[in-house]
Amino acid sequence: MASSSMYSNPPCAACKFLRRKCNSTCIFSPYFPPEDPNKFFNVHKIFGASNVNKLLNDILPHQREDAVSSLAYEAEARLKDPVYGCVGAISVLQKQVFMLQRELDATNASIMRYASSRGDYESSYSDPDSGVPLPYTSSWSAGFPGESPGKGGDDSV
Amino acid sequence: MASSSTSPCAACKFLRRKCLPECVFAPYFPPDQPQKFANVHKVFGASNVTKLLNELQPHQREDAVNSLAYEADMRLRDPVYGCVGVISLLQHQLRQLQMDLSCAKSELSKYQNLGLSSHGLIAAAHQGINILGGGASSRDHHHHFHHQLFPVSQQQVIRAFDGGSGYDASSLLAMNMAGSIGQLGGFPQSRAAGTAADGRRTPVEPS
Repeated sequence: MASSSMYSNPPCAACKFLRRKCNSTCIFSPYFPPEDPNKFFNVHKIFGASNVNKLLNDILPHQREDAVSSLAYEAEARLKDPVYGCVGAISVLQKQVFMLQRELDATNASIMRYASSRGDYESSYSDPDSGVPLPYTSSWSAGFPGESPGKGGDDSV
Repeated sequence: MASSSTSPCAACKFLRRKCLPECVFAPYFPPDQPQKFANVHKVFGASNVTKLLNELQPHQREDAVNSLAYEADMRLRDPVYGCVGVISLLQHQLRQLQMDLSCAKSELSKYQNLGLSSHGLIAAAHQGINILGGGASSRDHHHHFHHQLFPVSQQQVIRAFDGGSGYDASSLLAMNMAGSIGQLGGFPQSRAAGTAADGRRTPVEPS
């Protein structure tokens, strides 16, 4: 007599942790394989299985893998840094963007000064070898996309 | 007759419970910001937030609550990527800025090189220096301009910012949400997320 357990999949990491039966309709099983128990452990500790369940049910199936990955990342970041979590990284990146944008603006200003003093702005702009039009503007403003760029940069995002 | 004039905090109001003096939420969820707790509760759950706050020192709790509120807000606006979408977007911005700055500096140096040849000749002419003779004074003058041409390079600094690729940052929603990052101005710096894994749709590895 064949045992039914021969044909059943092992429980996913979520159901193993929650000590429940992992059936074919388990919403967690595609994203929390049993080989990676820490992933679900972290997500459950920060967000809670119930909240994750609701969130996954609210998004389309093809989006769920990315959602679980981002939740796992945020959970791990929060466990490593309980005060700031991944928001600390955002703060650092913001400052870096601001500093680089300021440096780019200063460099552009220098280019404009040289170009205008030489009176060859037009020729430089149309120089096919220059590759990039002057002044150099990132498509991102010193703020964030959605705000109007300060130097006539590309508004598209 | 003693009257309880203190209104319950937003958390206790939401949870429909009595707001005790020792309520862990009260200092951080004032009653005039109900949405803040509602968001945090929806994403993290009150129980998880309580545990997290209890594990922190009191002076750390305000920043923790504010970062949780921010994460919750981002997650509700972008249920798929949440804050990670913002990180990916910022990394993309940084890479773009690095490239633009590199191009701009390269172009600037071309102008400065051209300036050396023209300014050197003009300055030499003003000083009556025989530029054709190539006397020592003219060489010094060129040397002086040469030093001026190359300010301290910040390329090493820029390269250090390179965080690789993360999530696909093409989501318009994620980009629109990045506008709210301005609220983070008060956050002290923390260590950055580690370098991202290569390839698309792979999470940025936290440090």
